[in-house]
Amino acid sequence: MLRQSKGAPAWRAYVEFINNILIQGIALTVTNSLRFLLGMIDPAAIAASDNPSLLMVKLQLEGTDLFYDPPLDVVKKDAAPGNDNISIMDRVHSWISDFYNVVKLVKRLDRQEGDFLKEMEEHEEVRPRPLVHRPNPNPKPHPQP
Amino acid sequence: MQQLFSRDRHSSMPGKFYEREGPPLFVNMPPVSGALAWVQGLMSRMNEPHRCLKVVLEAMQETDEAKDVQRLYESISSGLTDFEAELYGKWGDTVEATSTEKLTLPLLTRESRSGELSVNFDPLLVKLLSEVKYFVVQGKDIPEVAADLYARAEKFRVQRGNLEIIKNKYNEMLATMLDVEKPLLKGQMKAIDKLLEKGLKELSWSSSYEEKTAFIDEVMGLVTEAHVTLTAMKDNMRGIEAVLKKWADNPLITRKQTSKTYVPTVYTEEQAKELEVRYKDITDGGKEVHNLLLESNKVPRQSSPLTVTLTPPLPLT
Repeated sequence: MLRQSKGAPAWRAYVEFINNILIQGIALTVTNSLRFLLGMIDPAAIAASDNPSLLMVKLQLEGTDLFYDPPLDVVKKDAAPGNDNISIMDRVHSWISDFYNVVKLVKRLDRQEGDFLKEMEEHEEVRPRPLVHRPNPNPKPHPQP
Repeated sequence: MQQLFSRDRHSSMPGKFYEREGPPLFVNMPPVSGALAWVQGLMSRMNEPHRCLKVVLEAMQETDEAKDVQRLYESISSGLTDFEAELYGKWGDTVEATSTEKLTLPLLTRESRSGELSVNFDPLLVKLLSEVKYFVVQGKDIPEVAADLYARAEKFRVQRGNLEIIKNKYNEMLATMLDVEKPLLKGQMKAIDKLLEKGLKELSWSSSYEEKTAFIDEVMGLVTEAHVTLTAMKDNMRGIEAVLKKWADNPLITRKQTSKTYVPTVYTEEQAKELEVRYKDITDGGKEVHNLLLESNKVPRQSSPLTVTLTPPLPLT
């Protein structure tokens, strides 16, 4: 029979150990998702697969203005969800932050309060870094024939 | 007929001398009783035709052929009997030394470096018991020491079997316990080690049956309890790892139709729905992880350990 008291050092050490397993699991969940996302939007990966591009962006000509619809890189702070004009960049960023939200879903094992945000920020693999391929913000129009 | 008889004897003579260095054994038969079984086989192979020919041989006892056959029969017969007696006698001489020496060994030994246990029933005793078993079948006159040992064979078997179970569980715990698990089971392991001292130092195979059984039962109880606890903890840990693997194996973003290029709004909507499901999975999984950890600190389900028990000996014919 184990029946250790919650405060016993031996049990606390064990909980800490399992907690670390949990952190690793969450970290792996986040990195796997990031990797999968990258696989869907990385031009090299798309070229290597049989799949077409993930998202469709129109190149519009209005008067003399040439622009993308939806925009690629314009950050609209006030854009509401469902707004067609959210930029591709913002969408991708919002997906990525959805991944990181996982840390708030699971309660810690070693103490009552808190989430795993700090551990994720310190985690070498998970720490946010430029993983996403940035589309060229200033495309040159095709030369006129 | 006479020619056949003597030819067979002649042809088996070289065979017999050739095989004498190492009699061919039946599968599973120990060396001495196996050799004797082979000798008895040879004898019956000769005796049977000889018995059938007896009438003929008596009627023709004055002829050279009959005398030849008779002489040959006697020489082989005495050769085989001598060989048998010699072999059995040699074996009988070793019995007493083996049993007195090996029975005073302690029940268990411990490997000093790894701390692993092993059951200390000497292979010579195993061999001796199995020889006796076949000698009983062959109707031999068993030396008293051997007969005495054989009478306790079933009890030895049970105790060895149970000690093997203890040994396996104990060694498994030693080998698989993680550093973080060790302190949790420290108390139990200490109690077990203290009790084991008795089996390592005090008790030997010649100790009384009751004394040995009491020791084995007590250790079995303690070891089983610790083993069940450790196994339950490890099962729970594996359960937690399975939950985490499920999370990690399914990315939080998916592309349902790989051959389609999505309009951004449509994809975002699809993704939002998918994410909701996945968030729920992970929230539930998190609760499961908590439960599994709590489970590890509870009383594990106790089940009576699987042990070896006495079975009535097979009737000897």
